[in-house]
Amino acid sequence: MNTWSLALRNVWRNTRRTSVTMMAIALSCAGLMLFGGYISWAHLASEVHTVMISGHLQLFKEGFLEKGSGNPAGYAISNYDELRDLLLLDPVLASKLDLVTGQLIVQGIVNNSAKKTSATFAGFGCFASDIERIIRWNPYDLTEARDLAANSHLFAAKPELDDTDPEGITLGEGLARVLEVKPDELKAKERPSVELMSLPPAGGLPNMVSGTVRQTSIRALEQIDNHLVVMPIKLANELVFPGEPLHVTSLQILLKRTADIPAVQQRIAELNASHQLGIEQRTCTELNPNNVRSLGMMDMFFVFAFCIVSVVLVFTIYNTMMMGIVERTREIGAIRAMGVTRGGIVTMFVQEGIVIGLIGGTLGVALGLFAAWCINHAMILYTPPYVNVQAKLEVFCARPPTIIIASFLSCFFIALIASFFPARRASRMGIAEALRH
Amino acid sequence: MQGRGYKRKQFLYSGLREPYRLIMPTSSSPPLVQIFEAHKDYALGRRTVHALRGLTLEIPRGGFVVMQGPSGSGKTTLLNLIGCIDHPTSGRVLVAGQDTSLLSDAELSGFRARKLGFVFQNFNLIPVLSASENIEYPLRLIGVPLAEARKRAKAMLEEMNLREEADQRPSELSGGQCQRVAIGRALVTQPDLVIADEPTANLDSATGKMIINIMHEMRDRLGTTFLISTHDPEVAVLAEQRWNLRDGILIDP
Repeated sequence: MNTWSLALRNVWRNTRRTSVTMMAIALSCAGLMLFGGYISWAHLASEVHTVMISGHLQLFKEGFLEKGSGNPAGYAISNYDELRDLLLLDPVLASKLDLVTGQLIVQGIVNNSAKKTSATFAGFGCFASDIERIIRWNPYDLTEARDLAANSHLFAAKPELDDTDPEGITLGEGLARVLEVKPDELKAKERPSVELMSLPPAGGLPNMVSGTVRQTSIRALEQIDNHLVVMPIKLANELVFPGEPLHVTSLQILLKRTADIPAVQQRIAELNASHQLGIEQRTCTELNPNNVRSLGMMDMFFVFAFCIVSVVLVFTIYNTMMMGIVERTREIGAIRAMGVTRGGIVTMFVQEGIVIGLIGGTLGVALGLFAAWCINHAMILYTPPYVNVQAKLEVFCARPPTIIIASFLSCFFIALIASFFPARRASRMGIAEALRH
Repeated sequence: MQGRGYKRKQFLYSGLREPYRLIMPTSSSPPLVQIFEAHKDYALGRRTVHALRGLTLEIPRGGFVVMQGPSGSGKTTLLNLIGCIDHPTSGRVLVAGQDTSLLSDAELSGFRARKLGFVFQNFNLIPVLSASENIEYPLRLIGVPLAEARKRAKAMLEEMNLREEADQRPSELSGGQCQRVAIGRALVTQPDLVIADEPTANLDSATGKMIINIMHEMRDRLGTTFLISTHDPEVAVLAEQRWNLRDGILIDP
């Protein structure tokens, strides 16, 4: 018989009370795991979402972010190929870069002459295969919105662009509605044609190109979908810079690891200074601040939930320990009389708290993992903030495993702290008074 | 233990003064317990209760002392002072030559573990431990290795004729068996003094007598000093020395 064995036996003196306390710990631990797992999923999903929209990094001509929104073509980068090669061949960056591609933002008017409808548009031209790689970027194997049956009506089966279809463009859902491009027309052999007009950056008469609508698209943000046109970059270049070499308004960079962003940023800054490139760079989070803010809000929810769980748990365990101490007052007096020190009494009750915390925490981890498995297999759908597609509710308790460890340790230390104060109180009882109890 | 040079002694009372002063003049070795002018006061609301009023006494080694007195006479208070679980308001208490007021709480705990054994009216066995483990418990407190503690606990259970009940928990034992376990627990560390506060109060008279006989026998065999408080006149009959306590002072037995 050692002190741990004694603690283990003591905690089971009142089976019902101990079970309820352990269940409170287990449920708290499981709750923290599930909430933490959801927050973890939200962070990963947000990372994937922002990279899908912007790549990890984007490079712009200096001044674009400040003044370029009114005239993006006026801040186009004219040496795209040269800049791209500089980055891809740089010995420091080469191992970190997955893709460098260009994007040309265009604004203007789109006209559907067949329906006599027109609307302003804001779109971009890009390389079809590159944009497909960026929007398919999913290193964490998250369930993609486009793969959910509930979203099947939102996503077309074929890619938005195709390198073999130089005039094929994609319209945002909202814009297609305004232009009266109907879904059944897209299925017809002869696709609807639209005219795109845009002012040249230097002013003058507008340029015009024709495109055929391949499909409509959802871009997660409704205000974008109402104006979006996605087109091949060569078509966009022809619209804005007819007859000129390829221009881009930004270079999108996809990295092999998100964690490399600071290192890549630093190296690009060095190259910018040494080669006088005249560019500025922004990360995906800087370009999508709303995602960061909503994550910050969720993190705060978690902190509040953690505080509430902690307080409830402290009181539950404290109450259990105090009831045990009151019931065992005479026994405490007797063993103190036999020679157990005050420290020995504290140790005895803290050990009981540790046993309760360990068992409750272990049960909680098992319960949390099981609940997470159930949730992940239940196909629960919901609409996250800032997107208008449904997402599958997932909880990543074990990604990273620190969530499990942190939840377990939190409950364990709460049990430890909650048992310490009753233990200290028990140790300070007068022996004679305790024996008279 | 028997080899400690224990010698049975006859104790004498030296006088009947108020407060009663008890002296054991025939002991050749120094007294085990010495109390000098001990007062113990308790605050009861606005009132102060004088539980002990200037008590002076000595207990020689190897005695079998029974203390009697009505409820509230100060028996338990006196036992608490001698058992080092309470301090006098004034006066001095020396146990085994040690002035207990000079010891810290932790030192007192160690002192009690090595020098004293306790037998309580309600047994106060640890309910989650078996009879054998209850007897092991004080041995583990003084650092006796587990194997040795088990061996000594087993021997003590045999002394108490509880071999068959070794693995049973207190809830599975009768009152007399519980009290025998408690006596075994008090004696297993070979203390100088066993303090028993009303050890037969919760037992029927036959069992109570048996318990007192066991204590008596253990005193004879091990040489441990016993100090027992009781209301039971049949127990008092077995005492070599009786003290009567009333209103915090010793009176003529």
